[in-house]
Amino acid sequence: MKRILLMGNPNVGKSVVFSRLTGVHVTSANYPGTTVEYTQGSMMVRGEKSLLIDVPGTYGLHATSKAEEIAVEMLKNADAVINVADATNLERSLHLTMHLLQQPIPLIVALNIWDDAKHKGIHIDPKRLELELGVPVVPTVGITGEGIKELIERIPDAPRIPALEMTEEDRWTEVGRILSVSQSLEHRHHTFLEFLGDLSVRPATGIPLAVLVLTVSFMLIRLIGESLIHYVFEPLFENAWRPVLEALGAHMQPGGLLYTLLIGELVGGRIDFVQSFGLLSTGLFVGFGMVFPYVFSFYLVLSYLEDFGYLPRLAVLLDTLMHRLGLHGWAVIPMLLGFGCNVPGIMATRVLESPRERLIASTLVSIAVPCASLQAMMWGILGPYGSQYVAMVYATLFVVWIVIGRILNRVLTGTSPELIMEIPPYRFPPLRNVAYKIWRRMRSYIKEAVPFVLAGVLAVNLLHFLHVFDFLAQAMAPVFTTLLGLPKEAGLAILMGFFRKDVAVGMLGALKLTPYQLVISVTVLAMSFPCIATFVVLARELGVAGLLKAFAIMLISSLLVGMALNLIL
Amino acid sequence: MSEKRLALTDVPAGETVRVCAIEGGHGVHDRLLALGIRAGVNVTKVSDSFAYGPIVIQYGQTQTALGRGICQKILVEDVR
Repeated sequence: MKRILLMGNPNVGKSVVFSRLTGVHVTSANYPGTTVEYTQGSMMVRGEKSLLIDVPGTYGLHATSKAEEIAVEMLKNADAVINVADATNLERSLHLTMHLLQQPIPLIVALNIWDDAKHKGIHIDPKRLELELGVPVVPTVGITGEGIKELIERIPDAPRIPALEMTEEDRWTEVGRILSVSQSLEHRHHTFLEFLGDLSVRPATGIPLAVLVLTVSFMLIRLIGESLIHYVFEPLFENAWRPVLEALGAHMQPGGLLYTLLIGELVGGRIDFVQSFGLLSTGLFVGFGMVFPYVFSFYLVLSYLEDFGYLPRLAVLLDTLMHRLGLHGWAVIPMLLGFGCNVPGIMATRVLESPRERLIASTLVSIAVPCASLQAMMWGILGPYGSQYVAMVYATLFVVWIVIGRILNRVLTGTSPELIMEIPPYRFPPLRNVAYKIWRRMRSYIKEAVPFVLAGVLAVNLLHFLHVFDFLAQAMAPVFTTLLGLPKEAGLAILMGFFRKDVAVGMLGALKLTPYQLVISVTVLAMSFPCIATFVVLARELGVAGLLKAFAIMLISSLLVGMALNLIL
Repeated sequence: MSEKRLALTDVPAGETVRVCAIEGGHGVHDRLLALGIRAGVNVTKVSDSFAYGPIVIQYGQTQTALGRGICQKILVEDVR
């Protein structure tokens, strides 16, 4: 099967063109040896089935970043390249085209976002551009599908041209020459979005705007998450699932192994979805009733902000703060992703240049950034006592984030490199795009997190049944009772945190702790060792030595912070 | 030399200037070149540095944020 690569700068509507070209035949895959995700699908070119690969966005083929390395690697066995160019920023796009013209691979250019360019007063002559480049150029509008059919039809016409030799200077000069004959710009005023974009990076207006955006986002995530729980998931579990479980329970011996494993212990004579701790009661309820709604609302808001183009602007504003922690503005992105799940957060530290930065950022994500599962459970268990207790946990983690970052910045040799970052224009993202992104993220939550939640609940029950827990609780009792002021059973929950943080908070919820004890245990839980999935990614990204460093920092700092909280509260 | 050369950091926000040279080693030069920032290009300063933060510039249809230290190495002159 022929392999066709879809390449272009980041943020040129590549993924929309991809889904137009392939229809629904999309599969997702990890590139061997890395975790920078790419998507592939199949398409028909003149009746012949071909494989289309969506290559991560690149500005050139310098192989200076992970994405560019992957692109260079993929080019080695490609049969053709579809270069998606952004008609609203042709200079930048053609620079990559120049790089691609140096490859001995048939090339075709999709001149995308063609409609926007016209609105912005950018007039491009595609015929002239085609003549200058020597490869087919097809204007397209990914969102509506305009031009896609012609693009597919012309793929076989893409010529295999002899590779040109060019230096970086030559490329820009050539791009400038081509633009001067094929593009004309109309003078025009700033659009509203451009104006808003400029306001978001100017400190005087940008900082208040950032506070507003983050506050509104946080409130929206809470509102959507809570509403889903109260109006959809809780009623569903109470009215639809409870009768099923009760009917099922009637066929089993209460207190027997099977009953305990599947349904758990009755609280006040009935199933309690939070405390019973059976696979089908608490296991499903934690996964779908408590965590799923928050994970969904988090990704809904984050995906919109991402696609709108806000995050790079936030990175600009927070650059100075991040430098104090030994990072730079870009590190905002792994941090924000970490609030959804630490795993993608840590994987996103790859956008950072040096191993030093990656160590600092990964450590900070895994210590001080609580994932959506943990936060959802925290709101569920601690929230009913009052938001001030939840705020205590957030405030403590924020202080820890700053302090540990500053210490690491002092202790580790080296300095943080300076920021160099493209800022994409603001764009109202097509909802179809946002929906697709959320769908993919939710699918991976259900596939990767839910089984772990169930396995965690199962493990808790089995260990309980085999009396392993009593032994462990006894062994750890001194640390937890004297240093942290917690009952020894809380230690078990924190150990379970290694498996799943949300299951661990569920165990804490069943212990009838005071609100202050809950604050201490949730904070220690959030800071101490990462859950198993994060652990695996940390090991892969940092290597064994880096992992051990991060691990030591986590254990020491979580114990110190727990003790401090125990003294203060 | 009738033209006055300034570092990009010394240009007030909102002004448009022309890049005339980039000081410093190959590293900075090459990274800026990969972004299309090179001698002869007109750039507009969109936002100024705040608390030693980055500066945002616009050139053509592209906006880029650059650390303050890098901007000190970009020498510019008035657009005539």
